[in-house]
Amino acid sequence: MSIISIDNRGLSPPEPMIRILAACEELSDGDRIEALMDRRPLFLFPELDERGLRYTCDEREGGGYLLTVEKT
Amino acid sequence: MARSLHAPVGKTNSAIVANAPLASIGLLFTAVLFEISGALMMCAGAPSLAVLHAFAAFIVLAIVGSAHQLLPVLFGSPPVPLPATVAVSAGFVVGFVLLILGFFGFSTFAWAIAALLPAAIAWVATLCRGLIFARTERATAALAGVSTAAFLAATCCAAYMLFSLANGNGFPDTLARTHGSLMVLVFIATFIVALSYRFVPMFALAHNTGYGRRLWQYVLLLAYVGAAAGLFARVAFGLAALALVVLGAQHLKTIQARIRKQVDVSLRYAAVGWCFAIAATTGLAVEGESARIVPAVLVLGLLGWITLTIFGYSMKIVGFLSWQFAKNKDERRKLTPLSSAVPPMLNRVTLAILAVGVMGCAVGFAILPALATPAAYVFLLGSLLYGVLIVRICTPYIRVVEAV
Repeated sequence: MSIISIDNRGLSPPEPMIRILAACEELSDGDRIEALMDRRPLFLFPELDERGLRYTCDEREGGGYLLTVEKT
Repeated sequence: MARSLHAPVGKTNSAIVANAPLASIGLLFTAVLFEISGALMMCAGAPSLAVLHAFAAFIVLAIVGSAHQLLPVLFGSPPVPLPATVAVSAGFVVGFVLLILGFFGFSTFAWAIAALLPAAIAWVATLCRGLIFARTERATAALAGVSTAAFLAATCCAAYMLFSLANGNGFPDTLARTHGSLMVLVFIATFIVALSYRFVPMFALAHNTGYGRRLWQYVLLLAYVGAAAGLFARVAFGLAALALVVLGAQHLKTIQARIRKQVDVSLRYAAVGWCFAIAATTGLAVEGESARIVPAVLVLGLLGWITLTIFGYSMKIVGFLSWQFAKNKDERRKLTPLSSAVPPMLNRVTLAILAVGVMGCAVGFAILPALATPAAYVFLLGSLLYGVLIVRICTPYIRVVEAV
């Protein structure tokens, strides 16, 4: 199991979404992506759902979000 | 990790919790009903101001419904509380119904002011609050701010004209022109251009190719402000047409660089709409605001550009909100993928019929009056099909919720 960390802070849409979807292509079973985001990536959720990936997006103290995507 | 990894969509985002998707879906559907009623009135030969304001109601409600959902997320600003959203939306819906009835000869103008003015002021206040506290996208927020200021100025003109009509007096044509120009050119057009800057790459899933600078957005805004003020209007429209061509080429380049295999359905509508925008603006640059060209340009601009673009973006937003609504109800359920929620054939036919209807109406108003009514019926058919289309998009998700 490996963790891919992505810092998407400071990037404009849809760059964070594209980077996460690109990283999703690399995921093997049990792997996880942890991405720091400025915004909640609303339009990304249906894309992840369509790919059968599990995900959560939690607000971080001090602003921004932590998106976690996992292939199970 | 201890926490669930399955999507608690909407549960950690105050913007979404505060602004229930169902309210915005309802408002967008109401907006489409206004659009269909406008197309119906156009076929029936209703008073032109009634027709015009039915389409205005559609546009304003669609912008209000989308803005309440998307702008807090886009700008990272505080969400608008749900009761405020509902109150503002209800004010606009009731106000526009009364306004349209007034153009049919009913004595409802005074009531229309009472409903529309507070709703408009409240909406501007909520929007300004969001723009002032914008943490991200300050350039887009600035454009939205100018657009909002134009909406406020146009609303003041409208209130003065409605007071005048309610008292049985007429109003100066110049004020009507100022109201219309501010509303269409500076408020709606700027809003759509500013949002397209984000929506096109987002919906195409493409890197922001050619988006290094926003220069041509500002050129377009300045040109439309100049045209609205009547300053060298034909030159201003010429400059605006040039800006639309350059911005259109940038969008095209972005769409070509997309990751998706197919061009997103929303962008097909926006692309056709953009062509109508160029045609309308070029028409004004070449012919000026002559009595012959203005009705055709209004058709190309309002029905062609703005309506088709809003139809495209709304299709995406309604689909997404319905998906989110279903996910909130049962986060573990497998849902129909959004990419396959739009029936492709119905979508293509609808867009083609709408485009033919717009072109027919424009030609009918400008040079071939016999074509205007049949073309209006074609446009009505396209509008009805669009209504069917968005119901079809929402149905699988709403059924999931009913099953839960």
